[in-house]
Amino acid sequence: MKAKNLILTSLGLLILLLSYLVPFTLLKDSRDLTLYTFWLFLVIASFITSLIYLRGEKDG
Amino acid sequence: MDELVIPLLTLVLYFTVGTLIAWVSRRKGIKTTRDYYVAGYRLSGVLSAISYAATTYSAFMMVGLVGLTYMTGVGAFGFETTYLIATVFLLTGLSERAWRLARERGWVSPSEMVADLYGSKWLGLLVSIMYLLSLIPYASAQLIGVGVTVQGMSGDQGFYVMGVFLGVVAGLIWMALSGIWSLATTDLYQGLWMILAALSFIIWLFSWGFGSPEAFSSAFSVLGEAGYLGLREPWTPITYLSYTIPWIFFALTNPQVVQKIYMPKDRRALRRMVTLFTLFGMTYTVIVTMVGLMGRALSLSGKVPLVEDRDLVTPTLLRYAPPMLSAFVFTSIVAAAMTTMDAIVFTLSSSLARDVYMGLFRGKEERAILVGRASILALLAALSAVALARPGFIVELSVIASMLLLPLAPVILVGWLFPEIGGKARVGAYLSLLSGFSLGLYWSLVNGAKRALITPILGLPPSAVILIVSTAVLLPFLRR
Repeated sequence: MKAKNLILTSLGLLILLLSYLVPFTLLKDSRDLTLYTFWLFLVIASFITSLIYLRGEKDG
Repeated sequence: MDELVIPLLTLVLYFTVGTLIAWVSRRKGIKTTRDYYVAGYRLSGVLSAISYAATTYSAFMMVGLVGLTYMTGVGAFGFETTYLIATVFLLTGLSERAWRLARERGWVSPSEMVADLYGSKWLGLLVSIMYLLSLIPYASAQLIGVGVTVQGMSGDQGFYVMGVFLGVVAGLIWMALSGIWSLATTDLYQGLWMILAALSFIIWLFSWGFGSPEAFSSAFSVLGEAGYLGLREPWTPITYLSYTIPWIFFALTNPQVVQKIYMPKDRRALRRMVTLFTLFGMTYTVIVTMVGLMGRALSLSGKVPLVEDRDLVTPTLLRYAPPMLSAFVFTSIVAAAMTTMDAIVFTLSSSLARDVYMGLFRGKEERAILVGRASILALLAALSAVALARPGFIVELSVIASMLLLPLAPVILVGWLFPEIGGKARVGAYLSLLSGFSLGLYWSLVNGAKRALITPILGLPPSAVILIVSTAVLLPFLRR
């Protein structure tokens, strides 16, 4: 597996894992929009990762 | 009668403009199923992206997800974002591989893809049967959604049949006219309708319901005190996993979106598809879940009555909206249901034309489009028969479609990653699909479709067990 793909896979798994673990441990009793913002932050992080990865790919 | 004029005019406008767009965008000289079903691999990035998004996001979003957020709070947003995160990574890492393989090997239908990857036409037939059994209830539920929404807009029960009829006729014209060319352009039109309606809805809801950022902030404090901004019932870890696991693999298991990956004209268009789809998904999900949260805040403050049935949250909120906006949003729900139903029927039709007619009966390519068009007609007739009969179990069955398709995840993932594995893993693929699908079907029959998704097997979420079983059965056959 290329290093770039390994980084993408690792980041993907990490973000998915965080999307389960953090809400059910640290944020389950959230009384404001922290939990909502956390999940939104993870989606945005995924989007940025995807943009960076795709920008490095060849056209054609 | 006067209150019927605006909704009906909006619906007529929606269907007329859609049909005009389908007519204008038709292509002459479509001779092969490759042209008809996947645009000869020549679709632009924007068309591919919005078509992917409109296919993915069904009426569930503006009706079901709004209601789920209203009832269960922020957990519903997490459920939907988990899907989006997984899909972004799957598309980013794997779509180019699948896109390239589709071109090299001439794939048109996703069942044909599985048959080719494992070197077995009968495996393709098995996958086609799985698609038919899982997706016909889901597509029927979309058509029922069109009927119910049109009925809701008119306030007259008789309009349900008209809604179903309009949905079938429009679907037939938009699909049969020029295949994916007319379907993708109508998807673009409907996708824009969906996102613009959602934006208008939330802007109105904010200004009507709260009026100022301070009022909004104080209403959300009340929402937080009531526990809707944390994880409340039913979001236990088991339930959350049960709901999210099938959706994590949606981009691999659902043929109507897998087929979209084949279509972009070049790598640049493919990348644009991934990026624009993510932006669409993010925006739509945030709006829809915010509508649900705002609705709950308004109920807690007494401005809107408490809604007991979660599918009635959006209609209840829209009762307070200006008639034009209400008609605009209701029509966007029709559009969301139409795009999903059309894409499923279209993909199932490609399986019947390519895998059954051409693959098993050795039919000729020139006649396959005719067979495809006939199968669209037959599938729509079947869907409308189901929609008119409205058996209760259909909507329930549609809920478990993604769970039943889950065994396809390891099979497709392995096929994309090791396309040269071919016949070596053929038996493993058969056993994997049969074991996973049978388990899902058995669990649904024993517990009922509604309970099947959340009733644990040996303390584990059923979707996790199905995934583990189908993966474990496949793995021993992967020695290369």
